[in-house]
Amino acid sequence: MDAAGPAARTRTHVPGEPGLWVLILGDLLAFSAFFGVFMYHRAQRPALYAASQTMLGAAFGLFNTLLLLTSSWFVALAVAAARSGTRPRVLRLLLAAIGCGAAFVASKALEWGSRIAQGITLNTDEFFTFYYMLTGFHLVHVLIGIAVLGYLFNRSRRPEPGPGYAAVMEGGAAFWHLVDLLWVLLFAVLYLVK
Amino acid sequence: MSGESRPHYAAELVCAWMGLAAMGVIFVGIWPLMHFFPPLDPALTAREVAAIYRSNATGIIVGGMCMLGASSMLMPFYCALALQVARMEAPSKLWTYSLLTTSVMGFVPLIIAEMLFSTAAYRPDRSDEIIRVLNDFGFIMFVGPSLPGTVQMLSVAIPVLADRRAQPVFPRWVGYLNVWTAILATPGCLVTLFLHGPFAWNGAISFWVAFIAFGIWMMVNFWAMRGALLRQISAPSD
Repeated sequence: MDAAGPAARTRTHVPGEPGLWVLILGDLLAFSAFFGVFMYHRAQRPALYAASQTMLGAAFGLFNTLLLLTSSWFVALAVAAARSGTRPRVLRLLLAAIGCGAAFVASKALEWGSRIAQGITLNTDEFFTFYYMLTGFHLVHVLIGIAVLGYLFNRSRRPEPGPGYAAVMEGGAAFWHLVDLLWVLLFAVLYLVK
Repeated sequence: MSGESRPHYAAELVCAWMGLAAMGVIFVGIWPLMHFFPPLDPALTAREVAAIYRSNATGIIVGGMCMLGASSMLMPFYCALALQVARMEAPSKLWTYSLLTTSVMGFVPLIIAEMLFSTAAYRPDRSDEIIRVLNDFGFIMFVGPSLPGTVQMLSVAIPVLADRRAQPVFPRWVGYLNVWTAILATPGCLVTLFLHGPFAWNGAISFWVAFIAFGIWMMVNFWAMRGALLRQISAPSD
């Protein structure tokens, strides 16, 4: 608690607020554990995982990565615009980021749909269990992230956004960057690692 | 308020400690008595499951009694937590009610799980298949209802993060920690999809990650409650 005091704030700048990093680092820790479990199981049956990964293909995953990287860029620009006080620009950029997020959800639905149409489901094999569960757990994060961006949008629309506005923008942006970072790691681990 | 309210804070502090003690009793029940920690492998055959119940019938029944008794002792803990939430969000009572109802909803299946385990152990001469059905039902009740936990943790997180007083009731990072554990509890609701692997009811992710997250949740929220109550006892203002 003391670290959040004004004295600490002049020395170093923590984006958002210090407490938020409990969630961000905690989530990174949890995903690291998930990846560890995945790599452990993968090491038991390398041939099965390699074959299933080839069936998965990387096209959707790559498209998803581009969507989230783009949305992260919009969010970063929105934070900068919020600092310089150009609010109509903040709103446009946040809307663009939310659009990319929604496109990610739609693309994930299409990707899952096409796998299911191919007959690949949750219990097809261990690799696809991880595939559906890890991408599904990440999707929960995307939905929470979109809700957070929606909150930022609403807050930015207020005539007087209030004293904590800059920190709220930074904190929300940090969470969205986490969602993006987790996807990039997930993309590498599930779709790419040979 | 005057000093008259101090005994009431002291009672809340007792309830907070009782919550920790109850967790200890539940753990003793599940681990050394029932031998259900980690849970039995869902891939065991009916014969193997029945053999486990036959060889440890008394341990399973006595451990179940520990679970049953201690789950009830946890309710005053959640009530004391709800009183802190009520302070944060006053004059609203929304998250207080949400916390209380989801706490009950989360623990009722645990009590039923205990009764199913005890039913299986009560007549161990029953057929293997029936024992395994009761065992399956028990573990699905035990690990499956994780979403009440998620909503319960969010019902703490939201008022903590919305608390605008100069000295917040709980530190803000405790709010973010509640969000984190709420997210980690979610995979538990999918256990019925899997017979083996990390997402089954004994799996690394459904069971171990959720178990560790709940342990951290319990310790941190206990610590925050204790701090808030000690501040109330030394300076009863609201």
